[in-house]
Amino acid sequence: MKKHIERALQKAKVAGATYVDARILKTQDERIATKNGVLDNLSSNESKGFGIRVIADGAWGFSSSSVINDSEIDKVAQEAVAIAKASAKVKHEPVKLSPVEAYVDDVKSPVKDDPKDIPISDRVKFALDCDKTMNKDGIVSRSTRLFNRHEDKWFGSSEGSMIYQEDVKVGAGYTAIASNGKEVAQRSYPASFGGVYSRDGWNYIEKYKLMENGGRIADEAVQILSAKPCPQGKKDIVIEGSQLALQLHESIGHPVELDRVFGTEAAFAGKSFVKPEMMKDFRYGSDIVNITADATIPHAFGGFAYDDDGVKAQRVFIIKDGIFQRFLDSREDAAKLNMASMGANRASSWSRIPIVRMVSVNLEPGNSTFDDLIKDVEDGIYLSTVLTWSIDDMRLNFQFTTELGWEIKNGKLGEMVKRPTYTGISYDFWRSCDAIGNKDLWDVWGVPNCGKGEPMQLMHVSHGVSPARFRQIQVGVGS
Amino acid sequence: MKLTDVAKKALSVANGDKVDVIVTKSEEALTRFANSYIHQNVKQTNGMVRVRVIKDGKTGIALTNSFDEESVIDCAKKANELADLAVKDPQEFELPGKSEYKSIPVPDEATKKLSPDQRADIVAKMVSIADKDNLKIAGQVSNSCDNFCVVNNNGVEIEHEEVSSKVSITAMSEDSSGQADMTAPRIGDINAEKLATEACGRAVQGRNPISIDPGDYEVVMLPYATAEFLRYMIYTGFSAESADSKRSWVDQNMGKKVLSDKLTLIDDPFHPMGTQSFADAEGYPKDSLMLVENGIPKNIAFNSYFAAKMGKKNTGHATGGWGPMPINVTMSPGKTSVFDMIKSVKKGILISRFWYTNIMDPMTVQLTTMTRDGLFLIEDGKVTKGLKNMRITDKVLRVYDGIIDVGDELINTDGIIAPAVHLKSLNFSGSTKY
Repeated sequence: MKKHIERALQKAKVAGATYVDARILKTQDERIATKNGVLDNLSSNESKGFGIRVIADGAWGFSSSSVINDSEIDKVAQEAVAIAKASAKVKHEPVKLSPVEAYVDDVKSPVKDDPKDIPISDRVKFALDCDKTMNKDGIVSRSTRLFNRHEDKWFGSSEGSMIYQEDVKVGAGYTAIASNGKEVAQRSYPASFGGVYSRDGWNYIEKYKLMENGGRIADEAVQILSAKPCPQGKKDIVIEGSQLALQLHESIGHPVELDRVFGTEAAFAGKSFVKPEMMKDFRYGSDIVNITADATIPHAFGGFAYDDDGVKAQRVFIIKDGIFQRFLDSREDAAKLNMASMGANRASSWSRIPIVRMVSVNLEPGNSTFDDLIKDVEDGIYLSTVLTWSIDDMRLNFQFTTELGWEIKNGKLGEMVKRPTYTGISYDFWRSCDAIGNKDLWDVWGVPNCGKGEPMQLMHVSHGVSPARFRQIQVGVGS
Repeated sequence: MKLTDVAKKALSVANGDKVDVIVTKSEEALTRFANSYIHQNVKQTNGMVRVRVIKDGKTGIALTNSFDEESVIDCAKKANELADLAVKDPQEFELPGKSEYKSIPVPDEATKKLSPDQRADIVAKMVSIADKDNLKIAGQVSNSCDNFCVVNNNGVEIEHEEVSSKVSITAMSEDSSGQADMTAPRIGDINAEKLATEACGRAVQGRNPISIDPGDYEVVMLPYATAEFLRYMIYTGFSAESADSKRSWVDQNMGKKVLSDKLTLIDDPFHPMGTQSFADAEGYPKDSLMLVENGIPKNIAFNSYFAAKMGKKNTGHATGGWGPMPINVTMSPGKTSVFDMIKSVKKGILISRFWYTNIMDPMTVQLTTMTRDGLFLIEDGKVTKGLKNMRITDKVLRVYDGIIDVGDELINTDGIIAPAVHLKSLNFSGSTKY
């Protein structure tokens, strides 16, 4: 594959590129899905292809193909340069890239128990057994999903990098849906979006004890139907980990993507209320809020060894002691601020260009136990598991609905509430955070479907969080 | 190599009672601009072979994007292997057989061959229009060509080509924005200058926006906003898979008048404004399907599996890996212009489009969403001021039961063909800061 990369670099340079990088990506996915006791999907998907990204006449061009041979590489290299020259017809300033060291590296996955080495029949049985645990009165639909991927990626650039990265990824989870004929209620475990995801092996799935939790999840789905609506008004809230991961994703992760700040996502994903002049100055959260972007966390779904600019994985503070520090960036966007890139330029496929994406963006742990979080709440709600999410295109006004919640009265969990909603303004919300769960409660939640870019790119990212408490948040919208 | 040859190679290796093979080949190009210059410009050539093998009720599916003989054979063998390992689904069903298909127009060559230079020229024209109002623009000009083939062991053997194009533009000042977009099977049908003029007009009109209190307001919604609500109505209601899971608002309300009699929805795969196709992903012939007639839900969409399971006729809505879904939805137009709708409003709000919509309750199509790129106050029949954006939390079944009027002009916006609508009320549940 490295010979193909070298050919792509050479052909694009001859065609007129002043910068070239080429990526070859090969993925092998397996998916097992059950529905209502029946195998709904047993599939294998192999995809491979290459993409060539160039700067010519000071502008970007990119072309890609699933056919990997010399003649196709030559054609695609020519196309990429021709596209760059067309871009230069409507150009602003020549593209500049922040400097990066040239790396030559081979990075193997450390995973020892790749799910593909476990017989498919055993995994099918496991999925069907999980499905069976949710087979209870009142449940009208139950589904279980298992996912695993083996990924090989080769990257080379005209600046001298030649990098190979191997990854193994897994995911697992299930959902029970209850209905009383008029209303439906959903309950997912361990999280929404098909469950939990990691760059890890089968041991990661075992950690969540899926077989042991299906009955409880089904019972809770049925109970939601007769639970009372969420009260309306301002309440103290405690947010469970998987929900807080998405809250962090939407109201901190996306706003600090530097391409949005510079307006290059304005027509689709949107812009951001965060500006470069806010660095080291803007109070984004309370003193206890510390947010890191860390692509080096072992097994984190948003982690890697090198991004698709060829920048080595790093850990940086996005917010320290509540104050905004720096953005997620690419080499191109970092250069506009005269900074070195922190390595967050990533493509979802061989057929896509890298754009600024989250890595593993994390809320660093605090020092509270779960009981601590609850006991200091006189009148509040504990919210769990994503149901609905929405935020404006400047990333200010958000509204989330969770699958369920429980009232908190005088420091104790009380009655269940159905589909509680909460809403707010991003920085006001994070400034109201007054307690964060400790290391024992901290977990890294993979997000498999972060959407951005045109053509659309669904990216794997993650968020390390523990549950946390927020004071006087508006709840019960639409109840 | 022809796609049918690739498919037949896979079919010859696949070994099941029922086998179908989908082969696709696509070329997609997209020129993206922001801050009034081209910043991303991409092309991809890709393909897919999907082999489904069903043996004694056990199904295995394998996919590859490589068309070389070895990869295709391996893919078919993998599907065989997975079918052997699968668990029997007791539900019997038949794959479609050989059929008669309606004819569709020959794909537009100009759209298929739209070059990077031509896409850049379209961007340049829109930039020059925005420059006159000192606005920055962002958006895309794209074109695609998809070849699609289905072969099965029950007589289906079809191949066809679809082309599509899209232009979208968002024009921005310091404190306002306006947007317009259009999708079409012929690039010549898209008037990019007109879209730019519309988007820029809304950006200029929206300058110096004011805030208003949340609450219920009478509204006029442009087609982009109408289509967004329709998208979630379709997604939550019209799939047989949702109905089978007791999660379809349509199934619960079939034959009942739950929406305004001014609302008629048809899934029309032959609408001239849309990308036309004559067969679904199983090779079953496509035809028009009445979804909602004068406010009454009439039909849901089936593929071969759910038609057999629920004892209904296949409607030709297989999607190849997803459940059955109508994907060519058109809302019937009315006779009123947007200008006349606005003229009839004493106090209300004009909504251009929505952003980040999500479902809170599928049975009432309760959703939350944000306005974006042009929100305006209507007073005494005229647009008087730009408004800061607001959040909406409401039930679409309630909202679309209150349609006062339907617009006379249709737009294809990302595959849904929709008019403007005038609504009695919509609940604005919150506000933002811009």
